[in-house]
Amino acid sequence: MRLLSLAALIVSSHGFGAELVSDVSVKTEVGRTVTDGLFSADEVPQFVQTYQWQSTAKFKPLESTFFLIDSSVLGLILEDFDGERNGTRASLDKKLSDRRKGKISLNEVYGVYEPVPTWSFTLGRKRLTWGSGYFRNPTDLINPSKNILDPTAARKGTFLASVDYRRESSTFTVLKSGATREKENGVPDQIYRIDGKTREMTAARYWTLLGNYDLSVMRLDDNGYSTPGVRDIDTGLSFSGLVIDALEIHGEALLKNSKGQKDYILGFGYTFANESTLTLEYLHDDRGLNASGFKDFATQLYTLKKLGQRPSGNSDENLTGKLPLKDHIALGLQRYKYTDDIFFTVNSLINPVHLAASVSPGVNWMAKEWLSLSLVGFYNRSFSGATLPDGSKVSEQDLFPMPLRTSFEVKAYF
Amino acid sequence: MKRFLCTLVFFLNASMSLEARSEVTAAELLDKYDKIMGPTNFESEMEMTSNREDGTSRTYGMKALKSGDDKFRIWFTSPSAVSGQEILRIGDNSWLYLPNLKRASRLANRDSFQGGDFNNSDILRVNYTKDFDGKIIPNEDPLTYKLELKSKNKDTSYDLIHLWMNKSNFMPVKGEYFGTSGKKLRSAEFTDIKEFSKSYMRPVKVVMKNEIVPARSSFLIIKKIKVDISPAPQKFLQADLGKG
Repeated sequence: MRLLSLAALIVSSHGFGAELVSDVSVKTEVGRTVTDGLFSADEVPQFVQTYQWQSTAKFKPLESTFFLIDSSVLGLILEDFDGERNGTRASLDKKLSDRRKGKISLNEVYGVYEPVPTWSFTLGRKRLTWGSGYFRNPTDLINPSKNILDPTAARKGTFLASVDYRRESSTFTVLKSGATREKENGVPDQIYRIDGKTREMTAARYWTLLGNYDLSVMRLDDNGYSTPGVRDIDTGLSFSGLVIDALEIHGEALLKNSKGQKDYILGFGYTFANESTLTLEYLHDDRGLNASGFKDFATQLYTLKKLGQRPSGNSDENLTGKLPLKDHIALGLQRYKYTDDIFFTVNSLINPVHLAASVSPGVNWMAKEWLSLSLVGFYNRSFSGATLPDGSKVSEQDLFPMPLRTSFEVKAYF
Repeated sequence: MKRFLCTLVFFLNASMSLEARSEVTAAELLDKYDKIMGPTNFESEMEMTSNREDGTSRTYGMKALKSGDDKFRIWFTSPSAVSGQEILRIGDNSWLYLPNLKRASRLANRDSFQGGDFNNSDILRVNYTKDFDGKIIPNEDPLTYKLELKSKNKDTSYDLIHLWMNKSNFMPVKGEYFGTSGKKLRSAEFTDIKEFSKSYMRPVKVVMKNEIVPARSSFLIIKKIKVDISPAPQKFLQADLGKG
């Protein structure tokens, strides 16, 4: 009780000392899987109900100290699993433990200490994005990758310790991060180690504002962090700037020094008079496949399917986080205003090799200051593809387990 | 006696008009406006309410910090749906930090401020001396100066502004804001003058009416403001966004 009184005293003595923002949401996703695709859809539910309580608590006990906890408590109902049995679509029985899941996700938990304005120390789990890309960040080797078709949904960070040295118009940052293994409930329990070696990342960035362009130069020592057992020292570059008041250009590149591979994006964002923004990005990753490489990849999957050994479980988050092909175009229209409270958004991922696209249109209605309703769809369309031994064609988009689906979410803020 | 009075009136008039001409220039009035509406350094708590066409309104709470002519930062504190969002301005560059994206996106000056009737530059870039050429123009109201301000750079939201300022205390009274086509876009009223400290007073309330959609208007209320501060330059870096 005495502790609570003390905490209340500290909070009340600082006008902006503590702040708690929460939202609760109920989301229903319904779709139809492809059961005879190159990947097995046995583990992909066609009905998902998500109950989520997400909260962000900020606490600033002293002017030099800041703490943040961003966490989610999730309850999941997963139903309606279909698969292919004896050449026909069949409903699959799943254990209750596969159909009901609870999860606590500690998205960010960190503290910041700034003994003097020039120095800032951060410790904990934090999402730190250094690059300027909207749909994809090639230089972001640290965080869980974001879904290109829902880039604003990413919020989970990684465990790190970082130091910022901050000048008037520049910042030099050094960080150390270790990959962690997480329990099924989402709470990380140990630093990830392979053969007794920690999977770790040491990175440094210099950021500055040069004229009206912000520039970042990065050096990333990836010691098994991205791929177990593989060490690579990469160089990262990023820029963004306004060419004219409404037109922003940006670029971000990762140069894999040991292999001479490049992973980069180039794009622009144009803000219309109605304040909607059109964002276009060209995405290129040398590590991806060209048309013939994809054909070989698809043929291998086809052979495995014929042998009854299809790889399973393929979410679009996994696919868009590491796309098989090397070249893509991402195109999005954000916040197209219909009324003051109703906005449309469309995100799309275009595969120019196969003339194929994944499109995710959505509408959001901010019904009250504290209540939003959103309806989002997902649709795949291919006009071409790699030719398989049986003469059928398959594109990268055809690897998505659920080519048509929709979700409806109600979210209350408090 | 009559001739004496006429002579006296003539000299008084002449001296008064001379005084009026010499008492203040447009540049001095712009400087006073900037010092009142955008003091060099300040921290404040503000609230903006936006009245929309459908009769509903939205209110946003925020903290603001300004340093010099070029640096401005805003933290949104309410409602919950936008709490955690931040805006940073450095010179001609502005960014919006979205907490769910964990990164900052560039903002255009012409964008409306949180969907209301103020533009970003109305809030983030109060420096009329830098952005406008001004001249005092004839005015029917004897208690106010009327200024005509013509934009001198591409980053301003308005091409022309008519601004009325009180002759006795130099407080802004009202303004009219025009686009490049000459169309009146907005009109403002500055009311509720309050002395926040011994050396600083300003209008507490600014009402911005949308002249394109007359049913729309927004008002900004300054709840607290401190001008005698020296903000740390590091508060105006991208790296500080999201750190409270």
